[in-house]
Amino acid sequence: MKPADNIKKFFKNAAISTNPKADQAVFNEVLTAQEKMIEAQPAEFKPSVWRIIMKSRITKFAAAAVIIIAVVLSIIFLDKSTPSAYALEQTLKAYDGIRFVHIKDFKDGESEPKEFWVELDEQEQVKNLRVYIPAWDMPSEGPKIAVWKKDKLQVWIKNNNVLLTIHDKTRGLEMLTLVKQCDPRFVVKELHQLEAEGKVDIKTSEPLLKSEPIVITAKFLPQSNDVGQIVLSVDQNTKLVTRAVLNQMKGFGGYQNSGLLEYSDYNIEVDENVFTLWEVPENVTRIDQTGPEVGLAQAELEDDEIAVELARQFLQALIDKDYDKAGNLCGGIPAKVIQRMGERMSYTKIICIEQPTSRPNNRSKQAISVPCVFEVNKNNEVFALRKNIHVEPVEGKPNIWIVSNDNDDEIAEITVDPTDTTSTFLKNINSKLASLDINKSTADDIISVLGKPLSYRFKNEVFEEDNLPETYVMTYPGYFMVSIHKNQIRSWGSEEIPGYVFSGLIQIGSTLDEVLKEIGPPEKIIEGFRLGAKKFEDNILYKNMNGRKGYCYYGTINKGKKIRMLFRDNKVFSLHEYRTEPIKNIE
Amino acid sequence: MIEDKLLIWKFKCGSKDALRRIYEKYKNELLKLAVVLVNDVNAAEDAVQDVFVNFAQSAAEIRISGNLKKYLTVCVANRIRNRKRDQQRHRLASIEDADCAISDLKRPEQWAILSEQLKLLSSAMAQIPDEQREVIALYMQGNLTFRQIAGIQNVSVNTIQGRYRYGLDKLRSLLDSEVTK
Repeated sequence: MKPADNIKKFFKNAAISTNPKADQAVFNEVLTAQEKMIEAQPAEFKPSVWRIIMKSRITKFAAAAVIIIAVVLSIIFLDKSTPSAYALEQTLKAYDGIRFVHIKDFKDGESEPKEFWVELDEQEQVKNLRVYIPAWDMPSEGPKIAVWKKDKLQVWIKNNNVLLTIHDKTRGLEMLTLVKQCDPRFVVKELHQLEAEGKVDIKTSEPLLKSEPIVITAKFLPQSNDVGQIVLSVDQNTKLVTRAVLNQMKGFGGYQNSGLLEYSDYNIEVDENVFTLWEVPENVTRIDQTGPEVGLAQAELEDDEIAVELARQFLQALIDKDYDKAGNLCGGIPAKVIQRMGERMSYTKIICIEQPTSRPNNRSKQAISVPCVFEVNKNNEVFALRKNIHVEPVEGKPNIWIVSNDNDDEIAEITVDPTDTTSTFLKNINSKLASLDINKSTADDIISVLGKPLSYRFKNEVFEEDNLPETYVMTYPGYFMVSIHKNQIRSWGSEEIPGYVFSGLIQIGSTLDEVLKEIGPPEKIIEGFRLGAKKFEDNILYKNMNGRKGYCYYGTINKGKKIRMLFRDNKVFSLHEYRTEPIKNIE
Repeated sequence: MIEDKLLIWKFKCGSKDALRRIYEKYKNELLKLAVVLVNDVNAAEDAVQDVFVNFAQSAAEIRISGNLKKYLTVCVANRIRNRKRDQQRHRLASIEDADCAISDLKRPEQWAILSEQLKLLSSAMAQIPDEQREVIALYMQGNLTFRQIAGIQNVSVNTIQGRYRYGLDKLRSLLDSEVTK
């Protein structure tokens, strides 16, 4: 046996299980997250539209319709190997000429189904699609109607009277791929494989009475990794599927109904209005992402460059209160929608825009996150906010980029709560620190000058002020922190948010060049240092650590002050001053 | 697989049952992946829990045509990589232990229960370099292809194959007596 096989076997046999009690606790949290997501539908107009455009994009409805087709067509071929008089070829043949179907998707407790009208072309590709989503699906948004034609999707959100139009080539391809997966050759091949592996159990019941449907029960066996069953009803005369009941396994043994789909109107003559949004009133608010004027053209810029430029222009438009432009950069959101956002707080200044990072999402592999620090004014108080602005190319227009505000699952946004006192605290930090001597001041001096900290911490522990350990960190707004040992200051400094300034010039966001210009060149430069390998030494500039360009460390003594800095993208993001005298051993 | 596409569709329609099924179906595999990636049960649990919580909030972003297992696998790997990156940053930022990382809220009880073999495997994996470990874990446990892993690590397929070979040799030497049993 090959070594890889041995290791693979080892992996396979290395078992894991879960504690049922903790398991339930974790799932409860997951469920709560889902519920919050569903319930978090603000009533006001703006967030709803924002979310629709930037997150849901409604295309799910179109895709949902296709998956239904996929289910139907896939399951039709499940009975390939069943020894029934009902033959697969009969349904195959029946579906050969099918170009139109009307699908209803029922949910328990709701009388009104979701509805899908699907038209296929000669090559059995989706040609036209109409979707009706009842209000119960998302009560805060109300009912929606969508039509999809080629690469264009239009959605009318009736309650908000908004008509959203987007180019949807990506989703279109996705839909076509799904349909393709329903190709008999593909499905039969896959099911043959599953059957050969003993992963699917198929039973067919064909009643004598022609008025009763053929019932096909396809049960996925545990070894298939797909647990559940699908029960199809097939019309004996037409050999077409009329309904599908989807069952999911409930506990050990037994199934519970998780959906009912009804299929009708096969190949009826389609009214020309079916695939148009004829219901939309004249006064609808139109958000059209298909126009040439939406977003920002990439031109000759690299992806990172257009990302930074787009984030900069978006913030600047908010600062200039140019809501038309800001809305345009967001993909065609009406100015009045953006204006409402702008009215909540006034954007006053861009503090810095950091190096963007690639953040592929489900829509675009090119999506990029741009960390921005900017100043806002709310209720006459000035705050510094740090937020990642997400940008990506418009679907179907790869050279046009828009702000997407997408919160993907792999990014940890550091957003300062505008209700905190970050800005006011940092505003005065330098003058306050000037009254302290880092070598002589005590924790009590810090409190008397800076006030009580937000918390007392050490590593992952939080302490009460009347029960402090020998070593701890006092944390203040804006990631400012003071490290204490034996009631004496070890260091103070700041991370991420500008405000604290060392020697009157160096602060968060200062470039490496600026720093070296201010405090002089290092004695030595070490490239490619691996973190954790050994401790840093003063006066050595550690560049591009861990192989990451622009990730540096530099510690030195300048004008009698000891400073240690971390750089990301060659800009300071962690800045701490240290005492130069040893800690006194006070008992 | 067909069931996954149905589950995603139902999940996107707000189905709690679909979410539960997805959770039940993949939690163990993801926990195992996380354990071998990080060799810290608590951290692995946190990563997987975070991934599921974020997944639950991202119905709109999930593609029906995508591969659910691979999507979740990559999420776990990214989560753990981010955690390591943050740890490294904090390790530096917290020179002389000036660490003010927010304490994790732990579950009252251990979620994952590891077999002895998994503990052994996880311990051995911890001794090989990060990049090699990730390649082996994603290939062996996550069932990703070299090409997909190359996309994640942003290097060539050849590099991934090299990391896989080196990692495998190292892992084999560490587990020598065990793998031949």
